[in-house]
This record gives sequence, C-alpha cells and structure tokens, in this order.
Amino acid sequence: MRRRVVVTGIGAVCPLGNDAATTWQNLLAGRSGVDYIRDFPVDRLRSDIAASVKGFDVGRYLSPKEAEIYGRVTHFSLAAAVEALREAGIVPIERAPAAEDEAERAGARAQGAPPLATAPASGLDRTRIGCLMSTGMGSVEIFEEQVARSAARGPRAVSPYFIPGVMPNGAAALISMRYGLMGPSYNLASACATGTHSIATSALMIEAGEADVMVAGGAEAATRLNTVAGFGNAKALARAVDGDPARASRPFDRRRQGFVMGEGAGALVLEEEQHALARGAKPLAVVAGFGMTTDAEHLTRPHSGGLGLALAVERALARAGTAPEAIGYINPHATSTPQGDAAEVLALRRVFGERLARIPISATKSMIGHLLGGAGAVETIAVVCSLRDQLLHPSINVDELDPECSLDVVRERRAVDLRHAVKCSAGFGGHNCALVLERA
Amino acid sequence: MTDKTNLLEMFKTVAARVDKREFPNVTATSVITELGIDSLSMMQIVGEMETELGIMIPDEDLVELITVGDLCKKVGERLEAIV
Repeated sequence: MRRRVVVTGIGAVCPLGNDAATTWQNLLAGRSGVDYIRDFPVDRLRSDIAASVKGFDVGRYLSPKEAEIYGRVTHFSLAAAVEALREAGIVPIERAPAAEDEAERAGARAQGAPPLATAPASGLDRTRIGCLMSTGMGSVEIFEEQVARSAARGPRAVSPYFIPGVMPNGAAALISMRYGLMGPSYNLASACATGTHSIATSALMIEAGEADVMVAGGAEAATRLNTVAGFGNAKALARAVDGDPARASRPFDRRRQGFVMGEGAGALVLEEEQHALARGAKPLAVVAGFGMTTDAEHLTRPHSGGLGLALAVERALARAGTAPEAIGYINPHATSTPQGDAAEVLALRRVFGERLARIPISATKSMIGHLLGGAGAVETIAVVCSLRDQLLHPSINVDELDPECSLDVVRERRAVDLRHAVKCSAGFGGHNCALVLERA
Repeated sequence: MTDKTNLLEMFKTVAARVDKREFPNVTATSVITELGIDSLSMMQIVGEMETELGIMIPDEDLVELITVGDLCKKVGERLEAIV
C-alpha cells in the first residue's frame, strides 16, 4: 500500500500576519496587505506598491550577527518553519529557539564547545526528517548591499558571509542545523511555483520512503529596487487603483493589470500518516496527490491554451485517485495578469469542463499579493485551513468579473462541506505544479 | 596610527561592528577562538581593517593568528611597509 502523506503543522509569515492563525483570520475577513513602498525611492519605478510583512521581530529567532548573515527571506523561512514544527510537536515548545537559546549557544561556542542542536522531540529519528524550505530568488538585499560595498570600497570590503548569505539553500541549512534534521534538505527553485513544488517534492520524498517527516514550503523577500524595476519594466506589476493600493491585486477582474509583489514564507510539516498517528499527532489535511509539468514553450508567457497547467492538475487528480467531479474548491495561481488568469481559466476548463463555473474559487493573492517563491506555500496553507475549518476565504477586488473568466468567485467568507480541493501554481520558465488536498 | 594601543582599539571597534556585540575586555593576549569569533567573522574583521587602513595583508600572514596581538602585529607591519 502506498504511504499516505498528511499535514501535521503549518506556519506562516506574510503581509496579513506573522503566524498562520492571524493570517487565516485576516484572509477570512477579506483584508488587504498591500500598501505603498516606503523602504526605498520609487520615483522612477513603474509601480510603487507592495505587500510587505509588518512588525516582524527577527530577534526572536536569531542573534544580531546571525540575522545579518542570513537575509530577510531566510528569517521568514525560519520563523514559519519553527511555527510549523512546534504545532506538529516535532520540536518541543519549551526548547524553541528563542534569542536566549541563541545567547546560550554563542556562550558555549565561545568556550570552544560545538553548537548545541535543539533536537527533535524524543522518540523521533532525526535522520528521517528533511527540509525543503525553498526560495525562488534568494537573498536579493544581500546581493544589492554587497555589490554596492564592492563598488564603493573595493573587493576587500565584501563580506566573507556573502556566499552563504545569498545561497538559496541557506534556509534549509539553517533549519536543519537548528534542529539537527539529517534527512534530505535542499532548495528547489521554480520561480512562482517554488512553494508548491517544494510541497509536492516533499510528499514524493515521503511516499518513496526517503523520509518520514519533511518541513516543506517556500519564501521570498525580494521587494527591492532592482526587482521591482525588473518586474515593472516587464510590465508585470499592478499600480494602485483609483489611488488605493489595496485594490490593485484583482485576479479575474476585468480591470486586472498585473500582480503586486509580496513577501513572506509558508511552511508545512508533512508526515507519513502512520508515523503521525503513532505519535499522537493530529492531521490537519491529507496531501492526496500532486502533478508537476512544464509548458516548454516560452520563458515568461503561460501556455496560451493552459495545456501544461491542465496536465499538472490531471496528474494530481489521477495520483490522488480523485475524479474532477469530487473537487469542491480551487485555490488558483491567479497571478492577476491579463494573460495569466485567462490561460489559467482555460487550463481549469480543460480539466473540469463546464462544471468549472460552479466550483468555488478564491485567490489568496488578491489580499497578500504575489509571494513569488512563497506564494504556493502560503496559499496551500489557506487550503489546509479551509479543509480543517470548512470555510473558504473570499477573493477581493472582483468588481466586475471578466466574462472570459466565468467562475464561482467566493466574494464573502463561505461555510462549506469540503472534502477535496485543488491548489495550482505556475511559474516563469513554464513550470507548473498542482496539489490535491483532502479533509483529514 | 601604527601604535599598538590604537590597533587594539580599532580591532575592538571593528569586531563589535562585525559580530554585533561588545568586546570590552580584549587585550593583545586574548585568544581569538576563545572570544567566540569564528573563522569567517575573523576574515570579515580583517577585510574591514584592510579597507579602512588601505592595506592588504597576504593570506600567508593570516595562517597562524592565535591572539588579537598577532593580528595587530601583522597589521602594524603592513602599515609600516607602505610609509
């Protein structure tokens, strides 16, 4: 019998909250996390808005020195992973890596002792716990800062921590070191599908018997001058609508004009079902199936007929043994670009036919913007919460549904009897990934 | 600037900036590893001192640095070499 994969913990840092519960409540309330950019000059940029994380205290997780070594994307990854691992009971709450622990470890190091690992809860085999916390772009601000240092003061001023600081696998390394996780860990990058691919690949890892537990997800913190300029010059970014940044991200609306860059991280603890039940963990949802495909057509434009994404959803359904008719909710990629949304609707129509118009659908990006490498992870967490609470969050800013997108867009929080849901993501490069999630 | 006390003070200032913590009790005989400064941080401190003083310390001079005084001595030698 195939090993089944369940979700036993979730954690999030995002524009609507610095933990999963706050994020979920704000999603249900239909709040927007989008605002004007205030961190750098925006006067010559094509878009001046973003969805930023607010009030995040990295000092709860890292010493000042460590916080400087690792970029913001890694800070968010660690925080989300800590929350998910605590909820899953994989790490004992009392041993959580607060700043005091860090000070203790720094002291131990100063005395020549090896770094202390904050070990997993007793009885767990840490060689079978892995970590696929990924980022699509890595630590953009460290790159910007160190290039500027070199230009201003010469190459000797470049930090020796530049390389470990920018390497995209930094988060997976940090989380593994902190908890002594010795299973498979690395970074997987597929642009805006990164978070979803990390979950799918982690589920595959557990199904294949390579690990019993995986910390899976994605993160991004790329809202910096050069990235906003790059996406803006590609004409991919939205601007404030009628002077209101909160109305800019509007998937499936007739006036959609692009995405809003967001930042944050989502982490899920995935676990082999019997492993979870044996230790008394409570599954939040089941990762029943996944599908991964590629458009193989264009670097940035989605396949015009949605072929690659449709194939990913079909494979996810087939792997889950679930008929399209059983799907009661779709959390789409919903980039909010004119081409992206249209192609996604075509893809979904290929799979679900005319019934698509009657399947509830809501776009998390309408409120948190586009978390790029973190998008699929936080959006999957929203689906897990939907299955757990039997509630769907709304999709905001649909003032006038694009007639090409005939969908049952959830406009207000909706109570449902939900058993099976689909989450799909697509990324620059033509990478597609879809998940089928089931009520636990 | 080449005087030993000044270089020791400079080391403390730079080390505090790099490692984000104070080093009030450092003397020339302080052993670097006992201060909890790891090898990459040490290279960062050296890079900062080089950049600020406009010198370059060859890698072979950095092989057997045990104490803070060892580093200050190498820095002092390079400063004298350029005068």
